[in-house]
Amino acid sequence: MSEFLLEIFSEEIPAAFQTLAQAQLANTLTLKLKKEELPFESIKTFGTPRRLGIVITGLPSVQEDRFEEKKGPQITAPAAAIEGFLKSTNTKRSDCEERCVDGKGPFLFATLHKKGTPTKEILGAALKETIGSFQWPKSMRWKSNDFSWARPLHGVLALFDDQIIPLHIDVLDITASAHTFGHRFLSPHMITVKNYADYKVQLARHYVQIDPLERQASIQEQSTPLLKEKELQLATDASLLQETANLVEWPVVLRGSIDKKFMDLPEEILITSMRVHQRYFATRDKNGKLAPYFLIVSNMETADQGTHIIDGNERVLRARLSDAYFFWKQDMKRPLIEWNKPLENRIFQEKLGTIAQKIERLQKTSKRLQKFLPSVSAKDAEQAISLMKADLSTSMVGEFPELQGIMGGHYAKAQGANGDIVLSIQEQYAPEGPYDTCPKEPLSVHVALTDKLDTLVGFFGIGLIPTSSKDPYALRRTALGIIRLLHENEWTVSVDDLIEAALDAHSFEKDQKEKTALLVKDFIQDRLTVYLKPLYSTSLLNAATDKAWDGSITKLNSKLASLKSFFESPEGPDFINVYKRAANALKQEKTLKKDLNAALLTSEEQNLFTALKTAEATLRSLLSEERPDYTQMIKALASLKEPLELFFENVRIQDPNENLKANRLSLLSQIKDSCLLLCDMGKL
Amino acid sequence: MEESQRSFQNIIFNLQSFWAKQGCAILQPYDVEMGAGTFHPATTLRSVDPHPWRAAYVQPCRRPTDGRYGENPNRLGSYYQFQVIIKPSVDNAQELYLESLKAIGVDTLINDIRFVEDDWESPTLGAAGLGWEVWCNGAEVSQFTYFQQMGGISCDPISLELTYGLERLALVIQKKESFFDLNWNGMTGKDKITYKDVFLENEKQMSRYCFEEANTDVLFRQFKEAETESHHLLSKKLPLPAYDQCLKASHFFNLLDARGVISVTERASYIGRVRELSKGCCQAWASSQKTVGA
Repeated sequence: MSEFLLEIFSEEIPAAFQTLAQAQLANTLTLKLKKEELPFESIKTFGTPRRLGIVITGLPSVQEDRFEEKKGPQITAPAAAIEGFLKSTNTKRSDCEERCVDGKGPFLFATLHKKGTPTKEILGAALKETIGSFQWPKSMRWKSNDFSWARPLHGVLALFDDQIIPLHIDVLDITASAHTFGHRFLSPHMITVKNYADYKVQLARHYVQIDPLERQASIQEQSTPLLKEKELQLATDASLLQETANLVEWPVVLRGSIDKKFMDLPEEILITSMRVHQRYFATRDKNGKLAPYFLIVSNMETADQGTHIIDGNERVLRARLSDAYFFWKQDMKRPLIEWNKPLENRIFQEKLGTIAQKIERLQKTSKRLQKFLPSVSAKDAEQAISLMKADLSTSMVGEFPELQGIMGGHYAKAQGANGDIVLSIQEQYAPEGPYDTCPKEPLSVHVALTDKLDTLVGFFGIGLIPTSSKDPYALRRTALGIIRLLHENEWTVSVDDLIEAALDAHSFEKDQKEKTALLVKDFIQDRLTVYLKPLYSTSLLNAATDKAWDGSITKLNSKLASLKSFFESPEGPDFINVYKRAANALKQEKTLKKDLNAALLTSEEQNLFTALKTAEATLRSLLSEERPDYTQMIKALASLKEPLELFFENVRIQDPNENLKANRLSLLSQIKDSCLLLCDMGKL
Repeated sequence: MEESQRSFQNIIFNLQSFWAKQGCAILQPYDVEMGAGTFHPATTLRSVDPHPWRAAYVQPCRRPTDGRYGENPNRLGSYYQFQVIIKPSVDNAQELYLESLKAIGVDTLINDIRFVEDDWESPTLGAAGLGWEVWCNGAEVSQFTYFQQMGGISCDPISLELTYGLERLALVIQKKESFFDLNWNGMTGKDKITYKDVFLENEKQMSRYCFEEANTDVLFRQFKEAETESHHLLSKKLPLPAYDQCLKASHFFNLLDARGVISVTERASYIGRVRELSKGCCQAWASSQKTVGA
């Protein structure tokens, strides 16, 4: 079977770009081959920091001949015109077909025979275009070239069936060849290859494992005995595994150890130092406690079995942890609350003031919110908020900004704060995005909610509102955080109350507050729709949220769940139909009299009216509850179905008697209003 | 390699002679305070004109906010960088760099040397480049950058910039844990001079100056004066002296920053003011060089 092999050889491509680049290469070439009508059997990409490659099998050696029909002049056309057509298509008069088109003609038709181009040549042209227009997340120029790549490109190996593909990249003066190079240090020789199998074997012999998944597997395989020897385990960390595999061509896993004295540091510091700064895998002992060992994925096989490498890496980690240890001890010398002092000069946002001012606002908002939110100890809430931002001034968070909140919690704990307070400080920034863990403890939820509300109404209040393309302050994420905190904890509070409480702590003018409240509610509602989209249809969301939403996210969700299950049940569609019939009858009338004269009612009408009054009473009483039972509410409404159907069967709305007609419409209008208490079924 | 060959000063000698062989002009440090070797006019200004250029030099760098009173083994308020600039960049840049590591005693067969993505940016210089930080067994020992932009100007041709963190490299080469334990002169016994002997007192006193004693009123005034003078010199088409004043303004800003008297929002505006100067200098230099070249 035929085979096409490509390797683009360059300086080290960032780990995060490699997977995307491989997919792009496959997609671009697939499209080009399709356009050239070249079928193939299999396509597979590979890559390392220095190589981007692909192998395609089963391509024909030559493109199939193609026939193309060209329409010419009518056979009665002047001789010169016919002559010109024959010349331009390079055909003889006798080879032309004569055919009528749409009753006109006949016309001359010539069939052009396009000979298939050798695949090798097509590939050469396709590669040139692909390389020339490749898209990188970030690319660069080098030397004096008018050419961009992720990092300087040095060579192209391109073979089709053992033959070099004709390709020359003019701006770089690079000609495709059959050679490449081995591992930068372990075997930097030039290697000439025949085909993919040969390429893969030879590179492996020269210390390059070309398949990223094989490198990942190799890292895992090598880790197992290193972990077993010390009875360690590893948390699954797919993204670190992928990254480390893309930082090496020849993974060699080594085990380093950590001095015992650093093991007293909070876990998060050790893990951040290892994982984020050094790309080491942290390990745990069999009880799940962080162990004093870590795994390094190096790119070298050495004569000393990695002794030097382990030694060097341990030294680097020791230096980092010594720093952290020093900061930890320094920071602990002062009570956490004292770190609030520098926050008086630290700007949160120019127009919204310093972080110290934000803390003051949070205290006010928190107090106001206590009447709307599930109860928390007022004293705890006050203490948590007074301490929550203090760690921003500590040297540890200065050095490890990603540990904000986490460190504050550790410092508060060391100084004897209670567990709820510690947790609420640690979880104040959560949930960050849709997948982050959402706080559950009431104090944590209270604190995280207060902080996010202050940020959201503050930025909206000064006009820094996200646009469709720009959200520099991550306000969408903030709104999503508020939604998740309320929904996942089933807190029924209305966002109107939350927004108002948070706005009261800001020093905006009255009309600015009112305007902001509306904008923020709309924004939250918009994010809520996005959040709920995977669960409910757009029409149901519209029907349930439009006017009928009282601002409670939790109630809305429980209502949606009940509505969805009812409308999907056999009774659902029938009820919608009969409702729509009533609504349509009303639509045709311009003026509606609301009052109803009970004396005028026939027996069918009387039945309906009684059923309505019962249903309405049930509805209103259920609605006034803290956690309304929406299923019961729908049941109450659904009980109107039969009397309504009987009404439509037996009563003529368009009665010549104007009084009777008005009375009947008034009855329908009351039914509609009752239904609207729950949702607008007209939108379904 | 002999122990004496691994001394701090020998690392510098070896780098100088290695890059001299590659045709670099070996320059001396620039005599104005700066935060990084990139600020030396031999790099900043030379990277924006069209003429070929190769130079290498040691540059003392001052980072007032990084001072730790000599108490942190890996953090210094002033230190040395060895800087190489090659314009246009060359195809065997990585190979040359690795050769230079061998020349100073880094065995590339027993160490794990890696090129790890690092996009370099200097908001003060209006500069950006792509390249890597070079890791040796997990320690960042160099920056390897292809300049894309300098002083707001798109570079053409592209310069290659190598920055060796000399103290960090020396830690790897001498296998030490603390900068202060580095052997400076390669001697042993009582003749040995360490980094501590040379610089500990400097770190202590300069940290006190930068964090506690520097008169901020004076510094604010000096910043303003340097800025005004630089603009004045630019209006006279004198980019070189204007750039000296830009460097001074940048240093005064760093000192003010260390004293903690610049708020976050003000910070951005000060950086913007220095960037205006460096842009002006780069533009003036580039246009003066076009005239010279023509």
